[in-house]
Amino acid sequence: MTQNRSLAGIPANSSAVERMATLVVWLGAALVTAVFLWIIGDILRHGMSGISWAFLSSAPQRSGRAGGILPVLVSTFWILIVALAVAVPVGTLTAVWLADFARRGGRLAMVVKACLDVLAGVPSIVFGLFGNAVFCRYLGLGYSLLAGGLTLACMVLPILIRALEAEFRAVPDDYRFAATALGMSRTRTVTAILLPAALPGLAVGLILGVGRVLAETAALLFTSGYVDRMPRSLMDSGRSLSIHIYDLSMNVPGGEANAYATAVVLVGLLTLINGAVLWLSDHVTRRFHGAI
Amino acid sequence: MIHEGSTKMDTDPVLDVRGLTVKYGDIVALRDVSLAVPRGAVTAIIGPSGCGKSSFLSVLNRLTDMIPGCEVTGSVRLDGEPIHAEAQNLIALRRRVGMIFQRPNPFPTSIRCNIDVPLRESGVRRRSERNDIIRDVLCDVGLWDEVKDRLETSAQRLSGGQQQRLCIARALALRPDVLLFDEPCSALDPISSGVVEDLIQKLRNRQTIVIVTHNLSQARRLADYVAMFWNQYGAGRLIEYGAADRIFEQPVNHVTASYVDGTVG
Amino acid sequence: MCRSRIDSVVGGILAVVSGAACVVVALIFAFLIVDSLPAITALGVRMWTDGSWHPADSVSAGTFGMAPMIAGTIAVTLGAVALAAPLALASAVFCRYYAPGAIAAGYRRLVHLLAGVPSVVFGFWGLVVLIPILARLKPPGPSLLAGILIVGLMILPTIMLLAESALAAVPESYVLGGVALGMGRWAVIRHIAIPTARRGIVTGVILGGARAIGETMAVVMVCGNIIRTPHGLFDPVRTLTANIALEMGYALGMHRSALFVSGLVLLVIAVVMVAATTAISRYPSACCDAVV
Repeated sequence: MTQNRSLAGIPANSSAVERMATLVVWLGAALVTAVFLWIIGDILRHGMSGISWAFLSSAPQRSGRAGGILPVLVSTFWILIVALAVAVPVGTLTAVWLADFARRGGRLAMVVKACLDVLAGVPSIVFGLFGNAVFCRYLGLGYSLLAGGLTLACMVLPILIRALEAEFRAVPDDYRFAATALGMSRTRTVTAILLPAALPGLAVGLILGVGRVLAETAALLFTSGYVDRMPRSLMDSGRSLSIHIYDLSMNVPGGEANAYATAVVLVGLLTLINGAVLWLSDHVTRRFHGAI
Repeated sequence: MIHEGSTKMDTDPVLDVRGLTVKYGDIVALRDVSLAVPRGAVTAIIGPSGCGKSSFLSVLNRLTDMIPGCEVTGSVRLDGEPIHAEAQNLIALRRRVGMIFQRPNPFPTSIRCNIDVPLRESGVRRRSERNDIIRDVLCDVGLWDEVKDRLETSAQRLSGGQQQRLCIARALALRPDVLLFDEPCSALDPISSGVVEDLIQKLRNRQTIVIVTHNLSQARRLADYVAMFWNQYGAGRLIEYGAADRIFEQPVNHVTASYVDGTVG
Repeated sequence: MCRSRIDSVVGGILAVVSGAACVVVALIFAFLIVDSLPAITALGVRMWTDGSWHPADSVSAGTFGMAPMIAGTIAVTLGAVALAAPLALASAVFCRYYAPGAIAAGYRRLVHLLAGVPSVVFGFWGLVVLIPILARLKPPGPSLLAGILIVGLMILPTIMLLAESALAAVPESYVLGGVALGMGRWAVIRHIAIPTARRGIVTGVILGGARAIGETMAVVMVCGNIIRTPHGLFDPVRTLTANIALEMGYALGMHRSALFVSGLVLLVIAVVMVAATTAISRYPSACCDAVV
């Protein structure tokens, strides 16, 4: 992969401009690194002490100042499940269609792609308004985990589809030609060859989607709401981890300690996810590049 | 094995290469090459693909430094100074040893900027002076009349042959001691190729030139001296070197003989 | 291409499913427009010019002037882009042309992690760490500056990753050509790499700006949310997104409709920006030849 090759070997000349540029570039990188470490370090330093089994397994008390986050974890989980249960099938089928059925550059495919671009660019608070208007009010779901999950399903759709379509396209055309030469229908080719071959890509897309759902706050404010009780069904309102952090830090004086601990949980989950994506894309999806 | 034929190349070499070996990791691209490039002449490097011709060329301006894992041993002297010395200023070296690549690679900026920027970097501060040089070198490469009215348009809109001549012009603008050409015509159509070759002919009396070429008849037309490279035991070697007439008329090495006859390679 | 019957059937089904993305986009527009109409027809142009935003209470009918919020959004966005774009470009250049391979890879990974930190965590850090520092410099603390710093940090990864992939796509022959002409490192970057990668860099800046405009949670948490056009960096501001997040929970009638108008504005801006990036990637010559 020459793509990632560093070109650090270009010699520097001895001019003042050159020295200045070197200084500025290194300082910029150092600044970004320092701020990042500051943020993560601060969260970990103040939050780690709050993490315990009791914190993860008990309900919040006194608006979250004391107690744990169990109902919040459960609500987050259900929102995630709803979002993925809707977005993964729709996303996979759309990706298959875009990669293997739609005429490349055909009008319909272009329209779908443009819509995906728009969806990817819509601010999350606008998704919140949309979810509130459609799911909570028009469909009468009220503030509920279901409404929140459905709203987020719309949000992660473009992320999923982009990752999956890229993976389908990365399957070498040789496989397709071979399958066609064997007289297999396109449908059979997809189910028997392309889907299994693109499985790691499915996983990457899925994990990216999970990350987006976990990080999201604004779209949930007016769709899933922020009740902090244990949800009994998908029609109950429930708050996600991110909303819990928001509420504790903004609306609950003295909620800071538990906000820190919740932030550690959230950042920890997201880091795991990030690591999984990197690991998958480094170790599993690379095999095609060797194959062709 | 190496047969030297002329007195000129012994007395005053611009570049003196001794025992040069180039490795990319475990692969030996070039082994133990010694060769003196005479001043003011055209030296052609010929041989089949994969015999280390291009590697040899990029050692001469140390472009090999840009390739990770590339290891160069042996000595190369430019006017007697070792170019691999610790203290060697690479930027100064590359201004003295210009290079023209196989594919024309004008920067995606205007025609003027292509010459102006390297000139300014090389320390020509006065704009009027740079404009004079730009005009001179564009005249030298025969582009001036074709582009003088559109110096500000993108260099990428020029034809392939024009682009290559622009690349030669911007190299000339730095007044290099040596110009390296790495198969400068092989990516061009026959007509552009002819124009570029004519240009090299025109430069031959005022400029030391080292040219790598696949094209034997081009080597015949251009070269004063010819170095024949060949892949032996997995590494590029210099198998014969001498005046062009002698290499083409009475080659000593039988591989060279068959190669210039067109029976191998 | 000859297709079996099953392929036409499956292809048809997939095409219909793929339409889901378009349906969602259409629904977003439809619901936002429908719910905005009462405010648009009743208030008209006063929404844009009027400086006071006082939702209805028991005494008055309420006024809904968005001008201060629009000013707030513009100020935060411009500030964040002005802060992040140079740092992001320096970071991208650092990775490509300055850092040795291992450091570049580590730095790239760090920026990926930074990109995955949820906005609510940035906001929380801003609230508990950054704002006390700013308050010591000049009270009150929650301010336009806090918003610019936090949002700038958040959009930095977006710009940097796009700029870096644009720099990675600069043909090596250009770089080698510059090196062979004895150009120093900074000259190669300044005169060859950056001009060649200009399109990708501009795209990154636009997408970063789009993200800044749409950012909600971090802005709500650090900007102070006072409805007043800011006159200095230390003034508190409220953005369009923050306004929705803060008031949507209890808004009814005309108030709700007015919030949907601001959502519609955000949506239109997002679509315009997406269209701009698409246009840049599709019609390269339109923006490239003129500048050089």
